Amino acid sequence: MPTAELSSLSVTTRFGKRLSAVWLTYRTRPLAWLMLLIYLVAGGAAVYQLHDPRPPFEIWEAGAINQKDKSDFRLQRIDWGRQRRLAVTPRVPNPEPKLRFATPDVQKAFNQGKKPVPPEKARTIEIYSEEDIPADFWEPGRYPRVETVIVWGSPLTGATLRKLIQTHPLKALSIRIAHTTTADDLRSLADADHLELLQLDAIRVMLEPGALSWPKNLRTLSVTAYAPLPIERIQEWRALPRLESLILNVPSTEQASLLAPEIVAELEQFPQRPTLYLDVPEGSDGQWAVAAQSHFRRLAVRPGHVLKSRTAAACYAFGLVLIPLGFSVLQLTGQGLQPWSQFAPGAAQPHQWLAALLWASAGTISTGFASYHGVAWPTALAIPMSGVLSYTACGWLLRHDRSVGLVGLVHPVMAYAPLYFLSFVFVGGLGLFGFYPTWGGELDWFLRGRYPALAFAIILIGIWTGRRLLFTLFSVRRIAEEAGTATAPLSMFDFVGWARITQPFAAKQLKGQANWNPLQRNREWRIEATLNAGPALTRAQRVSVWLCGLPMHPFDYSSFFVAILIGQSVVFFGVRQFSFEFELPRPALTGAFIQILMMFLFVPMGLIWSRRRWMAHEMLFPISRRDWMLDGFVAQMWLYTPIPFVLATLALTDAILGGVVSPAPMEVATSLVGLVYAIIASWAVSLLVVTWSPQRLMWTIAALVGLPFVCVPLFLLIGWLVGNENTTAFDAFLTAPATITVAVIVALTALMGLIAWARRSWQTLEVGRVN
Amino acid sequence: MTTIIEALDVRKRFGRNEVLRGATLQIPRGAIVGMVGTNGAGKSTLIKCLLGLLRPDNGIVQLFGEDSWDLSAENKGRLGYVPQTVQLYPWMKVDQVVRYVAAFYPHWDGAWSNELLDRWQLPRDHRVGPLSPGQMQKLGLVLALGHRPELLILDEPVAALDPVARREFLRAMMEVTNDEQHTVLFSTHITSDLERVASHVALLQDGRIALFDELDAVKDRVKRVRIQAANILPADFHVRGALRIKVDGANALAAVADLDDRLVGELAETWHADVSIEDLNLEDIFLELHHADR
Repeated sequence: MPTAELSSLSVTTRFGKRLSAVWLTYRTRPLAWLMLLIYLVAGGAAVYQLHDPRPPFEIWEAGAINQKDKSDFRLQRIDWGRQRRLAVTPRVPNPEPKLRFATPDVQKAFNQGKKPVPPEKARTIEIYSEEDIPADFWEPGRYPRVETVIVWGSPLTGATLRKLIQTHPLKALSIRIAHTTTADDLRSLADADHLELLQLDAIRVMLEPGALSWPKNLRTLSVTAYAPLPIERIQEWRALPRLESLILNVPSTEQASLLAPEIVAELEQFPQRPTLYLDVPEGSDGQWAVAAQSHFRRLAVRPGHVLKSRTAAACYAFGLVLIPLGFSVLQLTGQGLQPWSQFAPGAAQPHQWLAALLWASAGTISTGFASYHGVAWPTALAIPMSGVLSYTACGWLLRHDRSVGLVGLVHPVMAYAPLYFLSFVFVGGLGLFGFYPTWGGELDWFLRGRYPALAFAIILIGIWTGRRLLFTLFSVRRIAEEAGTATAPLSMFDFVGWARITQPFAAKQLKGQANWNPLQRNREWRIEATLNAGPALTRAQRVSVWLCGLPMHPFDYSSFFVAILIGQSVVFFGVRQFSFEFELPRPALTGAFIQILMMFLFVPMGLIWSRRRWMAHEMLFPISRRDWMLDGFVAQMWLYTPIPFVLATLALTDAILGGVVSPAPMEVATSLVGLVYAIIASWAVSLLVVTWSPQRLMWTIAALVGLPFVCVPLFLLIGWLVGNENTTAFDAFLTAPATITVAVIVALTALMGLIAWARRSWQTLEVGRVN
Repeated sequence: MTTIIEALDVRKRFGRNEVLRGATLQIPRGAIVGMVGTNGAGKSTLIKCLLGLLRPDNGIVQLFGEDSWDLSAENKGRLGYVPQTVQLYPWMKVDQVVRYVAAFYPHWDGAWSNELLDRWQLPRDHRVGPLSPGQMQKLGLVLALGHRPELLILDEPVAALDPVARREFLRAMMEVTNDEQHTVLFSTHITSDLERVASHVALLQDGRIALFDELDAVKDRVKRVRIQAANILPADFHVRGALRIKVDGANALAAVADLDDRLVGELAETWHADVSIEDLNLEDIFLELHHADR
């Protein structure tokens, strides 16, 4: 609000009048209207999500989706958990080419219209037979590439199974409907060292007491039985050290609960904490009540029931509402921190009050609704607090170029830390939905209050970062003023550098902060090393010197985030938020990698932004315009070099640990493509915007920041679809809109890039406006 | 005489606001040109166009005979620039920022820049961030002079300085450029500074160069004429070449460009008046040209 306007109101005007005057000034601001529109759309989404009455259980029945479709055969094919991005069951991999053996009439149908598959090329063998398979069927060398064997209906004697295991290093074995198979027949399974997945469907011996043998290196065990399993079976599985996934498909009734308390108690004792997939029939909500009270780390289900999606959806919808609201709060807070508002009587207080009231009311409503829908109160409170966290972090980031930390105590590099943690919730979560469907289960546990340490950490950091608003809200005026004085140089809108002139403390803070900054020492030796390059610099040397002019070097922030990653892992170990006992936790590790990736995307943008003021002066260095632009481009691309490095580490870890981190290299490859594309696209668009309309700096920033955040998740999604061999045609159909969206974005950006190139806009960029 | 800066019919518009409306300026080698103009007259915009930081919508801008937009690296090495607000890397020390900028220049004179740092008592081991505005301006000048540029362009370099620092700054600037080999263009509001150091003066008015000449010539050309007529002067009283006329009964006060004896004679004869001529300093001329009362 202009000083004159507020001055006219003066301090003698009633506070309420000043408050409404501030409010009314936003009528003429287009951005405020845009925010309102976004707020309404997001609010509508939230209301849509919440219009149903509160359900008795936090479980959503598949039947409730659409009763009519229930009889549809597609329902049998759809994993609703997967469609909702909540859960998915691991399937038996059956890579092509496949060899199928069956009775003659069925075999004829199999072979119809298909080219015969040479045995030496087959990777999957499916056998449909009611007779035992002759032992010589598995002669060594006959199926050198086979990885998966699926046997339907065959009694499968011990001799046959032994021959199969001895001659073929299988990864997956599925035995279905083998009523006559005995414990002796299955004994050779103990020698199947390569076997990672074992599926036993309708094997009578599973229900009988007595010890069974199990492959030592089994990762996934899927069991389908007609009756509750004996407790001995569960105890045997405890001894499988690498067990990651346990799929129990026991069509029990309400009377005979699959999840009997003693079984639940036994499963909770599993040291390897496997992911537990349950196929529970409809109408057995009582079992879910047991499941909900248990302490399994992950929980996912197959058709019939899925975890209730509404809780998570409601939280994300509220998150959407909080985004525009938060930016309004940020704007208001920024106005209150402006130097002129410190001098204009009665200017700062209404702005800050409005911001505080806005956030407090939104936070209260959000927390109330979330609590009503079954979210544990620490988590419900953590959601608006994470918003405070993110917006404060954004403020720090945008005014990073002032090089002043929080009251001189925190280095500006710490401004990125909240963003790092925030990306875990929003951006990281987005990636995890693509990577690991069990994230839904994780999120569900979080919402139920299973991770109180994480929730309290978010609340505490949120209170710390947003304390200024908090003080204002509770009318602790003196503290608020002190906090305001101390944080005034943090004003994110201080693009013109007023704070340096008007804030008598700024210089002192700068000096104090500079004296202990450990990164400065690092910079000094780098400048020393680079500046001795000689009179005529090569492009590489110029780029190196250019990088010296940044507040942080890629090495600095890479080290910083790696340190955070290590610290985070230690914390996770300590509080056992993730199952670290024997196996690396997939979601946690992948999530951490994604966070690192996202931060490496964030930080260079912040650094470039912080440097914009000096670019005009650098244009006058004795370098031609074309070389200057190319130098800048190369230097800025160099800032992104940690990203491919992280991706390469991800791929390497995946290769070494055998699919522990990443489910498919294709995902890594496509995400890399997405990243490169996003960077190039954002450059093309931003340069185009700058050329056509140099004044619209915000659009440039939006293009620079926004596109990568659109492109990378989309490409991750594509990667997930391409990399997942089990993706059905129906899955692909469901994802068609995403594909079309990507195609449209690619086409539009390419078009804009072409126009930009045709105009040679990158050569005619006017950098003078930034000064 | 070689022309170092040449701007012909330069126009620049920001949205609906046309800041430059056909500015034309030619500055010869060795000239020290002070550019004056009111706030918003377009001084900074013209300077940025001259430097190639902004691209004019129309017209020709050349430095050293080369299009300033595509100035070669070699010619950029002959150029020094001090902006209105010197903004440097606050996280660097004074010494570091000098060496950082020096790294880009193939012919940087390290001894010279060190001498300037010492002369202006700039603390080498201090961070740039906490420097005072005056120190920042001096540091900006060191960075602009360190490679001994042939052309120095300063955009209101002393606006943020106190009178002592301002005078010291100007003296230092003159010391290093006073060999008739250096060309200097600086914009300022402070006409006394301009009178102290400039050889030429350029007046930017409404986006055009309204006046450009040697300082002495400008002062010679523009005079104030005080007229005391025998009778009351008419409302449409007019003096040829007058920049401004103020009539009060039988008395009139006019600022006149290109005043000569013939015009004085005509006035005395036509209006039966006593005509006296007064010299104007640059500030008076500036005010007269902008039709402003003192």
